[in-house]
Amino acid sequence: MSEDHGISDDPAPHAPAPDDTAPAAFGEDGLRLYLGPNPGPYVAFWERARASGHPFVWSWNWWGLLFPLPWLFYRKLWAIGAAVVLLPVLLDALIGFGAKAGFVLAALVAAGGKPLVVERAERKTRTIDALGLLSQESIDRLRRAGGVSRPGAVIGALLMASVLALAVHDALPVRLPGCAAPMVREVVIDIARDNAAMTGLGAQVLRLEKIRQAAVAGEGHGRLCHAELRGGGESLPVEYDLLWRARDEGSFVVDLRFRED
Amino acid sequence: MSLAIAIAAVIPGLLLLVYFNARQDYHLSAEIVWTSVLLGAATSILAVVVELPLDLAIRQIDDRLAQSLARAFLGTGLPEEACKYLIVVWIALRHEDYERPVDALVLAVAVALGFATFENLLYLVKSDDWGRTAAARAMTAVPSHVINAMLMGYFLGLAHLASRRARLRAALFRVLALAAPTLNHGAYDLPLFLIDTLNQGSQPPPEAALLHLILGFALIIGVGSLLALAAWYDLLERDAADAAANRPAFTIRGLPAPLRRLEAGFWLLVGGLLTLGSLVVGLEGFVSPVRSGPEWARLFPQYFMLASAILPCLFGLAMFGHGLGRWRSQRRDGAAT
Repeated sequence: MSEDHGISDDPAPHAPAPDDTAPAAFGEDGLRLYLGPNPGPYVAFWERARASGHPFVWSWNWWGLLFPLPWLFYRKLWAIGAAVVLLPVLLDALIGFGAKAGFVLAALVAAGGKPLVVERAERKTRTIDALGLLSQESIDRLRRAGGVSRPGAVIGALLMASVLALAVHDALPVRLPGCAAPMVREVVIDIARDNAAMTGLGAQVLRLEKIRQAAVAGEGHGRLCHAELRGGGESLPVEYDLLWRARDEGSFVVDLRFRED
Repeated sequence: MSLAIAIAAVIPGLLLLVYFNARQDYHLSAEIVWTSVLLGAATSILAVVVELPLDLAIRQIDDRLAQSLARAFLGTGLPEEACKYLIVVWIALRHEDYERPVDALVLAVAVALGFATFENLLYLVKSDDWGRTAAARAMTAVPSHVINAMLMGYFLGLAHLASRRARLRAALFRVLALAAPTLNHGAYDLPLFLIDTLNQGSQPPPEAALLHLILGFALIIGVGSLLALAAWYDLLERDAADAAANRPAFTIRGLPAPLRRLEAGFWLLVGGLLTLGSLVVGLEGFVSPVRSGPEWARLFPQYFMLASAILPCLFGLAMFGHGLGRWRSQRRDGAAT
């Protein structure tokens, strides 16, 4: 694992005690003030980046790779977190290329997480300095802008679970509804009502009872169901085939017959 | 085609977002507004995942009225509004730029527009007739999300004002901030779900029932919109009174000068076109009515189009009024200098 400890339980920000002078320029004090809990790995990265003088300095963050959304939201990188949720779904909907994009984005978060946190700290410090507030107001505002968000981590975890659940849901084969599924019962009753002359039950309130699957139908992909149609104190044995019409769209067809028992 | 769908999905939400930001004198930074929009869009995925099992459970209910009620309030209204509420309360209102009670309303609207826009996009991508779907959703679903967000933001703004003095009252307002939009959302969906359920049967639906439902739909949209507008103006007044009594000056981020000169004209044009367009669409059913078929088949499109035109017409009038206000203040400023 990397040296980043990501989500911490430490409630107290390791920041210098507020004094009456706002951080004049971005430096270690400002960075620590912004970071809140667990500033060590980020301060170390910032010093390494400053010492190297290169625009890009290599870093790695296992929390970012394994739990990109909870980590991004915990560190208040809201917009990037939202983009990590939305991009795979959008790419999937528009050009059918989504799942792989999710893995690529997680790797990017792992590699770019620390630079993003440090860059945000610098940007927030500059923005707040530009407001020309009193020093204590500046410090309070920077502390509010920075730190970590535990509710954010919870929302990030919920979103990550949602994206994974949707991916699993899409990957699962669509199942034909059961013989007694409410929508199947509705269709059977509607067909029976349309054929009131044949059933002899009239257009009164009809119920479908004693429903069971008698056999498979449609070359093993459908169901043959037996049931009793009841209405006005009378009952009529029926059987119906339940078959796919368009499996990818989830639409099915019901073929109802009256059974001679 | 994909680009056209994306543009059609985004434009209604974008226009309303710019309008709400303009009405608050661009007080909020672009960062907090766009972050709220993106988070609102992201949370629509959470809502879908919560709604899927709920929908399966609700479909087990045999009674059609009970099923539609459960779908509208528990299966759609509550999960969607709760997801938006989470983002508004836990993230947007904790941002360092959040200062004024009325900001809560703008941020709730930003989250709702992100939600509605992303939902819009997913609907349009799946639709066979995306142009018609885009027009219908731009007139109904997107503004309806805004109305719910206005109710949510209003109560969160009141909670902000009450939090200094009365914690219990602030807690009550926070509960209302979820309950009011959930009820309004469910009430909006209920007639549509009932019509959908009635149309699923093989028998033609009862004519009187359909007409009553569509009139109910129009009434709910009208009352909900008027309540939301009244809430907005009430919050603006309370906010101004609170500012005068308690608060130091806050940051105003105005538009750059060249854009400021164009602003009044932009809102007059957009507001005017939106009002006229929605009036034309709303009255189309009366101008060129369906002349054949049973009475309900002739009256249904007329009332449905009229009901659908209420929200865009109201927002169009509000935008036009804003443009007029800006034009007057520009003239006043010009005369003073």
